[in-house]
Amino acid sequence: MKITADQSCLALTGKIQMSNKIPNPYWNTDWLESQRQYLDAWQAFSQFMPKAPVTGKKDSNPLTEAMEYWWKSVSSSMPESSTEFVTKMLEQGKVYYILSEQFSKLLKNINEISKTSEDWQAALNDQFEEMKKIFIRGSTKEGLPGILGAWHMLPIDTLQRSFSSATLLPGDFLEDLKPENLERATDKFLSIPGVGYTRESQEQAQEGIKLWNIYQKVNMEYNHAMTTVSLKALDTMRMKIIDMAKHGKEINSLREIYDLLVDCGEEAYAEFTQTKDFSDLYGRLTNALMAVKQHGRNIVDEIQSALNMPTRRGMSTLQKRQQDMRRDNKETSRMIEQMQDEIAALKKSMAGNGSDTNRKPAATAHKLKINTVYKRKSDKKTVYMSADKKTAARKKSGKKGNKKDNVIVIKI
Amino acid sequence: MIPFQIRPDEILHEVNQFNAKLAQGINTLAEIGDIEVGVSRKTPVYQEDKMVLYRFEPRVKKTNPVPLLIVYALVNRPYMADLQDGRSMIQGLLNAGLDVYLIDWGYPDSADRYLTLDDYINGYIDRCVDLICKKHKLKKINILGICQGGTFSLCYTSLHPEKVRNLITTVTPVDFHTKDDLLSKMVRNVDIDLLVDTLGNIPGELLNMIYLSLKPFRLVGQKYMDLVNLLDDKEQAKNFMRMEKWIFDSPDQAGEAFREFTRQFYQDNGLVKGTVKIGNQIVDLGNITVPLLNIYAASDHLVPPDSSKALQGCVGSKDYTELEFPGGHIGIYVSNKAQKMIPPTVGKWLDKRT
Repeated sequence: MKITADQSCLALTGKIQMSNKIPNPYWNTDWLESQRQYLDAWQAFSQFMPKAPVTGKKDSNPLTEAMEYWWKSVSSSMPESSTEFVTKMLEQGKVYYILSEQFSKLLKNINEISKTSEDWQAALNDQFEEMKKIFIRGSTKEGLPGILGAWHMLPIDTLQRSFSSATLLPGDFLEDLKPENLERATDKFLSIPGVGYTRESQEQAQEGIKLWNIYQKVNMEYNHAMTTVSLKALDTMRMKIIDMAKHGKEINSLREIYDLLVDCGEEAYAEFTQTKDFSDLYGRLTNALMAVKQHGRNIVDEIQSALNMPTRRGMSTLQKRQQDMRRDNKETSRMIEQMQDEIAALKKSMAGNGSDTNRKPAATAHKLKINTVYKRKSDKKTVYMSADKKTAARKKSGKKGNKKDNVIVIKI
Repeated sequence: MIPFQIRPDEILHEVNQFNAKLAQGINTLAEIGDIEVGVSRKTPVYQEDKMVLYRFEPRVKKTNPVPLLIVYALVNRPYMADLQDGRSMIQGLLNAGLDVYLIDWGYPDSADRYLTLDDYINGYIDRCVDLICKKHKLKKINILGICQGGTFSLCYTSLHPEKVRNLITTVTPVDFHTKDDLLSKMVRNVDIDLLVDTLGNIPGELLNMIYLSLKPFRLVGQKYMDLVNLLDDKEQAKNFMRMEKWIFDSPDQAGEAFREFTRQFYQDNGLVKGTVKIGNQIVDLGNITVPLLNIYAASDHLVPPDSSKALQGCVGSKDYTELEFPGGHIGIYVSNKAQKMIPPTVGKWLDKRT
């Protein structure tokens, strides 16, 4: 494990003057040694768990490195349901370590300078500038994950993963094709007109790269906007700390510092997301990625079609037809059930009037109109039912009778 | 005075403690086992495609004669309303003497891609209502809608007013263009046709991440820091995991229904404008004249209170009651405060109107 001079900056000497608490007996604490102890502690803990191969890059923060080392050793023994969850916690652990490192530096600097208000604020400013650099790094692939890394890449990461299945190339493959590298290389290629036997596929490829370029540009725009939010959050935090000093408020723990950062982050994020610019940018980002994916999907469809395999387009047609048929079936079933109920009601009514409902159908069938309000109001179902000849004749002659005998109006 | 009243060794100590808790907590998580959800006993009474209508077993002898149908949202799973013993709105409603039915939409797959809002509202919901009416020999029943299920309930009541006796909406979006509606702002400029035509069904994972990005620092970060402090208590850790399970248990969304809902409601704000079309019918909230109880959460980050409160100005109900819950979108169903407040209020409100 390599420890840089910066990381061991907390091996300090002298009394703490900026705190009104009692002098610190551990002020001579060797930060490096402490971190080694943590690493040992993690490793000791991991001995109780089955081992898994440990790979991966080294992180600049030894605590983070220790935790990653430990996690990679034990993660294989964790239940699958907990693995992702624990990873999230560990990501936040890293943020905590970074904060501890940064604010320990700040306290050391403040301790070293004189006590005037301007001086400590200058140290504060310097420290926040350093944090900004870390957080800007956190917005790139090489940077630290965590409080910024996790949420900062959130929409893109999600969209990438969700949609990578719809293209020929996996999302990870495309991720490294940045416009600044790609544009120069592809400009010439894109300007070549498609000719000959491969014209169509050449044009398709050109179109795909154009769409990917557009997406990457918007993606960078989005990243830039989110980095601005991160920096705004740090500015807000710095101002709040100065404001706290003015009002005599205290910060007594690392967790309070973390919570303050979270509050400021949410504040800055909310401020940006309430703007029309955000809505516009988010829309353009999603649309650009969708255009790439749809293009890829269409190419896949064409290849499958050429191989005489089912295509997504064909499946979609089938699904639509199936849903239409299913809808019609449901409606038909509903109508039949409704009519059965009506028939049952009719039989009951006729039985109540002394009619023999089990009698064979009469020679003359009477038109029985059932005004049923179906889904479409224009639908009127006409059914023919056997009925008593006498009642039929009574109706025909216009004589008064019990209309329920032959004309039944059921409103649903 | 400099606000930092903390020494470097105290920071070190805090990090040390954090490490210890984290290590211990991971042990707890490894031992936690399966997470059970859904505590109240229920029986499936009707099933159609992937939708299941459940009836819960009563917990009191005398129940309200008019059953209550709970219409859940298409996003996430309905066991949130019955999460665990003592944290269950359904348990509370049963204790309040209600005869409770619940629609569980299931997990749509690619064969359900062309399900429309008409299929959901005039199809599934309507058939469930008919079935309950028939079973209880009633013409009308009570309906309680949860979140998007509340919006569906409003549409249903507007289109089938003769089948609804009382309507309760909980954290229900009505005005989709309120100032603080971030979800609405996110989808406002998305080409929804391109999205659905490309993806077919909308992956639940995508929705999860969109919800997290509403408050990324808290939901992706701070929440897990808080958890570290809970992990020495197995029960508390289990409760947290139960919630976590629910949050990330997101069914995919049927593409066509998603297209219609996003365009008509989120992009066009059609519910308050009276332009939403379900099947061939326009949804006019003015048609709703039944007694209405509208419950919203004061700190709701998904459905801003103003979005729900807009309902009052849109419906024709003379008997309109609003209830503000001092909490968030999920807390309204699972918090201790909610257990004491929401189900008893619903029970009494319905008793008075039955």
